[in-house]
Amino acid sequence: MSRLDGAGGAVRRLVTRRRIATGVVAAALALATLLVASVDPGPTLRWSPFPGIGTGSASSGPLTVEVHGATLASSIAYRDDVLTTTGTFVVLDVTMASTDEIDILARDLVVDGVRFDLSTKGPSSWMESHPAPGMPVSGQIVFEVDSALVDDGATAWLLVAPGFDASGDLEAQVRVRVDVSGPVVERAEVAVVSR
Amino acid sequence: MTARVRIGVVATVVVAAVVGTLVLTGALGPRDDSRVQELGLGEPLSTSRADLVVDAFTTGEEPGDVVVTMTVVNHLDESMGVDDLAVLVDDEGELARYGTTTIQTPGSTSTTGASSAQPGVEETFTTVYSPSRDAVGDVRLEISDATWTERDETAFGLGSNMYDERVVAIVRMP
Repeated sequence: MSRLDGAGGAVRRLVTRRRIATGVVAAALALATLLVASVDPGPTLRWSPFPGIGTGSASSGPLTVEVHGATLASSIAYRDDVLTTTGTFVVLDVTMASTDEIDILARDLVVDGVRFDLSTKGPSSWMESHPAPGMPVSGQIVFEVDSALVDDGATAWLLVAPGFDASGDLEAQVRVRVDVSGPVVERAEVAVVSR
Repeated sequence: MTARVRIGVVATVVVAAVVGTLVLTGALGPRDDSRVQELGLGEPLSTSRADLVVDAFTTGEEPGDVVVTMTVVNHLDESMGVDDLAVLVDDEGELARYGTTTIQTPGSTSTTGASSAQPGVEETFTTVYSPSRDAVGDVRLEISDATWTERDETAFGLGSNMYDERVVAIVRMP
């Protein structure tokens, strides 16, 4: 009898331990679920985790971007053409240099959390004018933005992203803070970015 | 409690959990079978991504080409390709998804290649579709809306953000 009692007690203890273990695993999974759910989506895929940040100019890795000035305009003149917008053109006078061969993929302007692509109304030669090592490019790049965001002045960020290298790692990215303020001129002459 | 009773209790709990999940997630709710609205030329449409109007919808200069002119105001907080807004279809399904898009600004002497709608900036885009097959039956423009489903990029690293897209209106070619 006592031997049976002992065996029954051992089985009960085993069952209890398993139940406790199951409970601990379930609680851990629940906790892990809450932790994962509470993590904010990070910017790691869009922005380098260690970008070069600066006001007016910034460097990161081989890349240096300088913004010499910003002009707001309701139209731009480029070569023999005049282009208008229902928003406002933000024309940035920039110089970009690199100490290495890079492949620039993105040049975006962020104003008040809104991200604008480069306007195709501006000169497109920027695409072909990547800086070669030791040979910076200078000129103007054009964004077309919502007037309500910039006409009374705003802080904007120019983002230049060389993108991914062959091994899939993020290359350095540069974020330059630019204070954009009026007046909004009727027409801005745009010079192509070139060496 | 016998083993059978225990199995019955567990099965009941599992079924209740499944049904509860279906009810709570709305999976058992009424289906949205409302007809997709049909718009005429010049009729405005407001979606969660953009306000838009199809201004013109006609044949192009080349045989089989279709030309769509659309005015768009992007509501997103980032630039958006106008290709994402509409698809050309006929009675056999998709006729063309992408075309050559240009803009013509007042006073300009040339057209500019552009397919990006900038946030908060109204722009009129003209897209020339050159389908790879002949159109069959009615040619329509299917305008879609989409809900941006943000996923956790940090935890899983591969970025599984996606649009859940649905057709919200059609415009027939006159």
